[in-house]
Amino acid sequence: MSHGYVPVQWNQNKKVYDIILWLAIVAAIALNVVVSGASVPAPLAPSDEILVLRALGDTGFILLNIILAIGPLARLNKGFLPLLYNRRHMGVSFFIIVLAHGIFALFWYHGFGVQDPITSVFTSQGTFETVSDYPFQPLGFVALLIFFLMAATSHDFWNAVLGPRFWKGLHMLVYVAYALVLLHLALGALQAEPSRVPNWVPFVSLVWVGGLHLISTFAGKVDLSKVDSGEWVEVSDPQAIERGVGRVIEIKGQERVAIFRTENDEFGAISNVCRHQAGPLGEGCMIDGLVTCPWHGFQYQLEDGASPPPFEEKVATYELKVENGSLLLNTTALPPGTPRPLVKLANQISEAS
Amino acid sequence: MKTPFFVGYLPFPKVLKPLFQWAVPLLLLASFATAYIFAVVTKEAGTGTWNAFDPVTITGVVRAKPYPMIATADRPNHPVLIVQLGKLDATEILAPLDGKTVSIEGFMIERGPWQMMEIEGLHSVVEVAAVELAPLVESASMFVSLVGEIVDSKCMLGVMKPGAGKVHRECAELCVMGGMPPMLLVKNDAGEKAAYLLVDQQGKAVGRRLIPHIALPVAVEGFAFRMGDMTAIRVDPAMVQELRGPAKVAFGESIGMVGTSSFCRIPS
Repeated sequence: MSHGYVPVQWNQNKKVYDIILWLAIVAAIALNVVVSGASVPAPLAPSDEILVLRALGDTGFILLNIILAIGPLARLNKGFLPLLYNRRHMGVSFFIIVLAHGIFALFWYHGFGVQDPITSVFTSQGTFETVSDYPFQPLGFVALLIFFLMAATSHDFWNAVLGPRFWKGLHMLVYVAYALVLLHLALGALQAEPSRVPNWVPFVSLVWVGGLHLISTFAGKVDLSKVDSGEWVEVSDPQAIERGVGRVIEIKGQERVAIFRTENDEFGAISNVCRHQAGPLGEGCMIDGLVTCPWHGFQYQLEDGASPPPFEEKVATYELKVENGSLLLNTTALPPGTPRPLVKLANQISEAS
Repeated sequence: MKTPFFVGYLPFPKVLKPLFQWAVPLLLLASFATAYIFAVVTKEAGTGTWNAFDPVTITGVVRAKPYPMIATADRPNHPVLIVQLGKLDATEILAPLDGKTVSIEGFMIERGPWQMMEIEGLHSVVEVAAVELAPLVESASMFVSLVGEIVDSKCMLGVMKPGAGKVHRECAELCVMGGMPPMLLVKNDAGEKAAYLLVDQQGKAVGRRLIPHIALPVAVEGFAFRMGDMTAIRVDPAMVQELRGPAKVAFGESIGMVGTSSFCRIPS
C-alpha cells in the first residue's frame, strides 16, 4: 500500500523469496549447461554459446510454466498465496532470463552479418505456407516484446499511471505470449532436433497450465454467486458467508462485487477489483477489520471502500438492505469511497460451518 | 476467521507452513528434473573445431576463385579456405592478391579433411617472396544426383555446433549472403557424412542464388569434381529442388544433426 513510490518495497518475505528464486534459477541454468556438455564426448559437444542459449531458453520455459500455475494454485489452496505475493519478481526474473536468451540468439544467429539482426529475424526465407518451413524466430521475438512490456510496466507506478483495468489487460497478454512461446518451441527446436527436444514438452505444458486454470475455475475455493442484473438482487444464503471472509457476486454485464461479513455479523459490499493490481478482493479476508487483498495485502475499510489513512486508494461501494429476512444488494456502484451503512440480518445468524 | 491467509508484510502464518514446506521443494525438484531432462538428451554436434583464441600463421599462394583459399608448399593440393571474422568472406581482401604468395594470420576451423582460416582483416595478410607452386589439380567432372542439405561452410566446419538445421537457418542465410562458401551436406546409407563445396556451372561462386534453399532437404544435380583434395559440385541454382511429401519425410532430421561422424572423404 504505497503512498509514494520506491523501486522495491522490501520486506523479509520478499528477500527470502528472491534469494530462493535466483539460487534456483542459477542452479537450473548451471545444471542444464553442465549436463548438456557432459552428455556427449567433449569434441562432439555443441558450442558453449549454444549450450548457454539453450539453458536460458529451457529455464525460461520452466519459469513461465511455474508463473502461469501460481494463480490457479493459489485459488485452489491459499497455501500457495506466498508464491503469488511476489510473483511480480518472478516475472521480472523470468524476463531477464528470456531477454538473455533472445540477445544470445539475436547476436549469435543474426549478428555479425551484412544485415542488421532485427531485419534478419523478420526477413528469413521461411514460408508461412507450410508448417515445416514456418519461421519460428519472429514468434519468439514478439513474445519477448510482450514480456518486455509486462516487465517494464510491472511497477505500481505504471499501474497507477495506466489505470488498473488497462494495466490488467496489458498483463493478460501473457497468455498470448505463452501461446507464441509454445509455437516458437514447436516450430523451432522441436522441428529442428525432434530427438533432442522431447516431443511431449508443449503438450505437458498445455495440460499443466490449461488444466490448472480449468480446475481452479470450476473447483477453486471461491465463494461465488451469479445473479442477473437488476436494481436490487437477492444475496443467496448469506449465512454461508464465513466471518471475516468474502463472497464474490458476479452480476451479469457488470463488475464483480465482494460482500464481506464482519466479526460482528455485519454485511458490507464493495467492488471486487483491488485498485492496486486488480486483485480479487472477494477472495481475500478481513484483517484488523479491513478488507485485505489476497495478492499484495492492500486494505480497504468495508464502511466506505477507502484505504485507511495515509493511503488514498478507494474502491466503489454498494448498498445492502434487509427485506423480509433476505439480504439484498443494489447493483448500482456508488462512487469510490462513498460511505453507506453496514447491515445486519434481523434473525441473526450463526457462524457458518 | 478459519481460512488461513498470507499477507506479505505480516509474519508467515504457521498454519500455512506445512504446505509451503513441501510444495516449494516439490516445485523446485520438478523444475530441476525438467532442466535435467532437457539437457540429458543433448545430441552430438560433430567433430568440428574452431581455435578462436589461438592464432596461427601460414604461408602460401592465394587462389581467389571460386572462393578465396591458400595453397601451401607442404600440402599444395590441400588448400585452406579463407574467410573473415563474423559472417563475411575474404574476397575483397584476397582477390587483388590472386596468384601471389602471402603470409596470413588467423584462426583455424577444421572438420575432417576440410580446413578453413578466419582472418581479422587486411592487416592479417602480408605479401611475401613468391613461392613456386603447381596449380591446383582439378579432376574431370562426373554427373551426380544427390539428396542433402545446403549449409554455410564456416558454421558447419566448426564455428557453430550444430551448424545446420532449421534453428540455424537464418545464420546460414546471413553467412552465404556475406559470401561464405556454401556446401552440400550428404550422407550415405551408413550415416557417414560428406560435404561438397558448391559452385555455379561456370565454376564461380554461387552463394546468394542458393539462399532460398538453405537448411532444407534438397535434391541437387550437377557435376562433381575435385580441386586438389576438395570435393565440389557445379550446380545450376534454378535446378535445386526442395524435397516434398514422402521424400521429405524420408529425409528425416537435418544431416547436421544426425550421427557423430566427421566428414568422410568422398571416393574418387
